[in-house]
Amino acid sequence: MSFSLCVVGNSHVAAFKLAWDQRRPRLRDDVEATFFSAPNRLMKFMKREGKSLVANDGELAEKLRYTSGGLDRIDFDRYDAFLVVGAGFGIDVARLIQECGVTVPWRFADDTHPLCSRRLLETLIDTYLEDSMAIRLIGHIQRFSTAPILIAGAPFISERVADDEAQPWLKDDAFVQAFVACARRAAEAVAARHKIEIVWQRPETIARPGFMDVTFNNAPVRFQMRSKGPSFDVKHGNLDYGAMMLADALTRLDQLTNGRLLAA
Amino acid sequence: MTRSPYENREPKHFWRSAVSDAHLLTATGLYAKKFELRPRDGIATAGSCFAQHVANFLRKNGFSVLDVEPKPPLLDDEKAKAFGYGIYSARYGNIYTVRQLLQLALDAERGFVDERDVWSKDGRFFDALRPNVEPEGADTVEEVLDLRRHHLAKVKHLFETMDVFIFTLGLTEAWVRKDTGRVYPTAPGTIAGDYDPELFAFKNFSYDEIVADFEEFFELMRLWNPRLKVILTVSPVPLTATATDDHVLIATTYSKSVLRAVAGHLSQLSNRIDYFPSYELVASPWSRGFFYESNMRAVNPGGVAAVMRVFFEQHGTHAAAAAQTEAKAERRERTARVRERKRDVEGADARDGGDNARRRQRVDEARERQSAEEEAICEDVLLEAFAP
Repeated sequence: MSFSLCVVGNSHVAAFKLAWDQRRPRLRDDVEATFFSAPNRLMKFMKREGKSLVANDGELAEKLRYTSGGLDRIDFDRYDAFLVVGAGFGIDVARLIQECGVTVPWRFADDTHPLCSRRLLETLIDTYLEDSMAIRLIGHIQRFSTAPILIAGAPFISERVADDEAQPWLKDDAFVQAFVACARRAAEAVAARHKIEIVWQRPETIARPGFMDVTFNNAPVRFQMRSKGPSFDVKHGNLDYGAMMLADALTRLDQLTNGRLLAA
Repeated sequence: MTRSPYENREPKHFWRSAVSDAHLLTATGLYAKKFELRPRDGIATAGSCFAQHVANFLRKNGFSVLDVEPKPPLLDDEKAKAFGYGIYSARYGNIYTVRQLLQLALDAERGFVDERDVWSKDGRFFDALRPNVEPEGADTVEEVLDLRRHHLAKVKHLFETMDVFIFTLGLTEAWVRKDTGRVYPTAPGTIAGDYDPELFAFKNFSYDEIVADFEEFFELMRLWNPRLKVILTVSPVPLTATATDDHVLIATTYSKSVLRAVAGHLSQLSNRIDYFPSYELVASPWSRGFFYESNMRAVNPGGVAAVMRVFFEQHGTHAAAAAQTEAKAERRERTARVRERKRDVEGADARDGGDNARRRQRVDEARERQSAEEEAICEDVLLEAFAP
């Protein structure tokens, strides 16, 4: 019996796709994967039709066909498991501080970065993640499928961002560590509520709390339909990162499906 | 010819013409403002839970109600309220006594925090001076203190910048820590903490003490803000429970009488202190109790609207109509909620063959008790849990 995996999300799917093509773990022969990737701004044009999500926008359809090898619809019945990648889910410390505020110590609080208790911050981050495209996609999937779903959030932003003079709080490891702990608890709460699991990035990819080791931002992988990608960016992971994440996701899905993915 | 000092008095000075033969909802002359409340005046509000209604109505009627601790944008209104946002001009929660208000001002002046004002419950830590603003408490004592330091800085900024301060006097009864003299908005053991008679004492503030406390507060405010104007009101909401040996009705009457007398006295002292008669509008025989919910304690939306009509009649003519509209909208919303709840109950009963009915009835009874209070956050309602 074949096993079909659906990987869907935004630009962060690219690292998983490249890893699938070049460095996937040894899998059973009948395991296949389909990758759907489009920016969040386009994903909102996915429209449910029966047991499928269909691209209801020309640009979105083009992106989905490009990344999936010709499909512009996700038929939920076709897949035995789902891996949702990025799509607004993840712990981007700089972004979350902008959106939610800061926690104690309060020296970083100002009019645009209100001080929150850690519990309030968790509530805010929970709200932020709950409203993500990733969770909306999961809602669609769960309406018609009981297949296991994993979510791999966007990776931590690059450690280079911590050098930003305009965001002095990012240099304070204790502060960021506490912030990330709040964010992680919030993400786990969202995942538990939706009965999904999170694939967290490995410690060796993390330079300091909340930040990706710059090594994994070199030669970042992105789907580039018409242009060559940059040699570095602060948000995307590279092939090494993708390979680790893909391996962890497949291992977990193998456990959840009684060994239907990994080769013996 | 016999002369009397009551000759030539206006109709409003006679009970029959002003009350017996008049309708409360159309009555005039109840309140004459001492000073203008201009739309651009920065208004700060504080006090017992009834004061929350005042702030809401002012906001909805275009007055500039200050908020130095606005809710984070991601927080919806319901959660924001649970975290103490948008209720008053800062997240200080309910301030029931004048001593509590004075204490807050002095703390704000000095940036003073005391870890003895941190209470715990189930491994979580609460700011005993505003225990409701973090519904689940904080992780550590240090977190509570840091949040409080930040809050006090905001409160100081508020007190320095407000043009008008509207304060609703709520209670004379309070709980005090014996070794520090600190006064709390709730009894220890209600939301958090533990009642230790060696550590905490009951205090029923006297007229003289309350007057002195307010004068000290007003003096301090005038140092920061010489042009400050104050509007005092007295909450018409009776006590949920009393710690005196008196019947709660007697204790309520004492408490409200003292507060009303204090407010009257203070308003006569200064042309910068006005008294607004929300207490009389709701609690006097004129209203025949119509403005209370079925528990005869919480003020219903009609009562709030009646109070605010009189307020806006003096401070903003076009706003009065808006206040009525708002009250109607609230009533409609409440009716819709009741209907929805009824549909839920009927549906559940039909599915469960009546098994749910008894449990639902108990829940509904609890909800009914709560619904009377749901428009405002009132910690003292929690004292009902201790009733026999």
